[in-house]
Amino acid sequence: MIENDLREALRDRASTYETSPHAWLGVQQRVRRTRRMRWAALAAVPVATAAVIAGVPLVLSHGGADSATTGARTAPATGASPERQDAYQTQTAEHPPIGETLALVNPDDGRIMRLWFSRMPQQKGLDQPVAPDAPKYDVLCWAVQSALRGGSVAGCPMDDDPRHSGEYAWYVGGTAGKWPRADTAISYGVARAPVAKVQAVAKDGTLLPGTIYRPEGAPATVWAVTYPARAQVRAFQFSDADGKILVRMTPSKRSDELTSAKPVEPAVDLRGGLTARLYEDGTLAWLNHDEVVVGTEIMATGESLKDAIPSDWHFGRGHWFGIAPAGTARIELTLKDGRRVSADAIPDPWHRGFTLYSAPYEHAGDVYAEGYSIVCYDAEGKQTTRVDESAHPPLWTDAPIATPARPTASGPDRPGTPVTDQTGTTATGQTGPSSADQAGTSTPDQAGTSTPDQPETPSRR
Amino acid sequence: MTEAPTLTRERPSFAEIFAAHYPAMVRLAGLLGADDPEDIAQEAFARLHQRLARLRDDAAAVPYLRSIVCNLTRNRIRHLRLTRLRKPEPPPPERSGEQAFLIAERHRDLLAAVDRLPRRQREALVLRYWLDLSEREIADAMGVTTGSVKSHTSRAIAALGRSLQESSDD
Repeated sequence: MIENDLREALRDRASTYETSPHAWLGVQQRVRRTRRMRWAALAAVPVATAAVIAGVPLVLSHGGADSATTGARTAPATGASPERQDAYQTQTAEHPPIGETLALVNPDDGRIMRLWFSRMPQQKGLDQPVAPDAPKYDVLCWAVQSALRGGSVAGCPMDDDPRHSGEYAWYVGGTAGKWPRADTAISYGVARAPVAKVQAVAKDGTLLPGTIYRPEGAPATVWAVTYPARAQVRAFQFSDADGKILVRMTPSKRSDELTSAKPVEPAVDLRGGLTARLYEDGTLAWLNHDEVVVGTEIMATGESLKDAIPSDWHFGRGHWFGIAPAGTARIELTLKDGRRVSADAIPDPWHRGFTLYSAPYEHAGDVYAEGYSIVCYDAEGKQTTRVDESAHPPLWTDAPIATPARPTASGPDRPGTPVTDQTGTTATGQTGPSSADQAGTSTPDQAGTSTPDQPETPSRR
Repeated sequence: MTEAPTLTRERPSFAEIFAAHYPAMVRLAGLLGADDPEDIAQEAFARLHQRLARLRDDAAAVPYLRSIVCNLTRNRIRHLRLTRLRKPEPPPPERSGEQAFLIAERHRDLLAAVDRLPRRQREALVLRYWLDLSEREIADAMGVTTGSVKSHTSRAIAALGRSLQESSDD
């Protein structure tokens, strides 16, 4: 029968088509590109209007906010251009992975972040040496990269209670708390059997699906949820393969305010469309017309910064902005394709010894990966400062993007499986997973990680 | 605590759909003659992502993907015809070497005949005999009526029979 031969032939031919390990990244990049194009269509008119009012050249192209996560609760490994030390390599040399390292896409900037388990001795405090007989625990380590500066940072944080006794899942890190807030955030952590599903619970009750990853050879699974920041996620909910909710976890509340310090008057309306506001604790923020923080800087309080910070810049939410040396009247950004964006700089009104600027800016490519130059001019048009920022191509592009674990059948029967509330402790009379179950490791080695977000404070230069 | 109420109907996440169906969509694009099946499949998933929230129900995602793969492959082949001014047959897609060679040997004449079919007939055959779809599902994927599906399928089978007969005569 020709039909039977045809089935066999098609089946055999189909088996020869291979899929790339980067397919997930490829799809996410297409999704991001589509979003940017739709955004650009919507934003083109107001941006153009702003440019006319501001009297500055307009480049219709795209850029993203710097999403660098630039610190860690435990001493992180860092790498930075131009040497481009790889913080992942540095950190894994000291804390080798147990099992596969996950590569996820940071939704903030589309660059890859890496997560892996490593076994580490417990350290009571950063100021205390590690005891020779210190118990070891499996912790979830992370490495992220900075698109703006081309560097990377990695850390292996450990909780005060690294055993996480009785917990089915716990929070490790994410980008939701960083400033400036991104449109899309990711939160992630560790989950133990029988967790098979994770969902974020938005403020309005909507359940936003997340993903469970099972790194090969790792002692536990990793959960991750990517969600729009406007959803205002209030909790993460974990279920087993049968859909039974095991636990609902509420991350520690983060402030909706950039700083509790008082603003220093006056705020400055810059010609490029942003407002700069300094606070008494040294936080400098750039805000758009909607009072949304689009960039931040931490300035040393009190002293002059004339020599300490010659210049700094950011790309985000349709603007290029930053600070420039005192005496700068105009500052110009030149992209690799030759297009230019120019901004007038004005002296800071707080007499701190620098100037401020902003300009509408969009760029279709990856400005960080392409490189660019910035030139400052004084009132006479004389060039005073020039920065040639080298290209910072994305790191870890050869890492296969993690493929989500496929939903599995229900795990082994676990009679009496508790339902715990991790906003507090395990409910009275209930017990969580036994120690022997924890992360699949033998005691005393247990999976455990620390709870805070990856550091989300503005970078200090 | 007690179980939290489920406030919305749970749907498979985009990531889960990707994990479950990406390889199949690559293969579908390849069988339909795409010169870069992964490009087609990734674009299909990107379009699904745009539309996911508006699909009528959970079961609509995969048929939607199939129809997008069919459309994109069709457009791609048409594009190749117009811009490269070459024969209608699409270039053979990349496959793993040794295995592809063995399969090509075993099914050489039949697959060559499939590759020569008009694109609609080829689509109907692949959807019918590889995915085992119903005529209704094939019609949805191809954007035609079930009557057309029957017609394309029967003509394709007849054409394959003739082609194989000619091969054996040679």
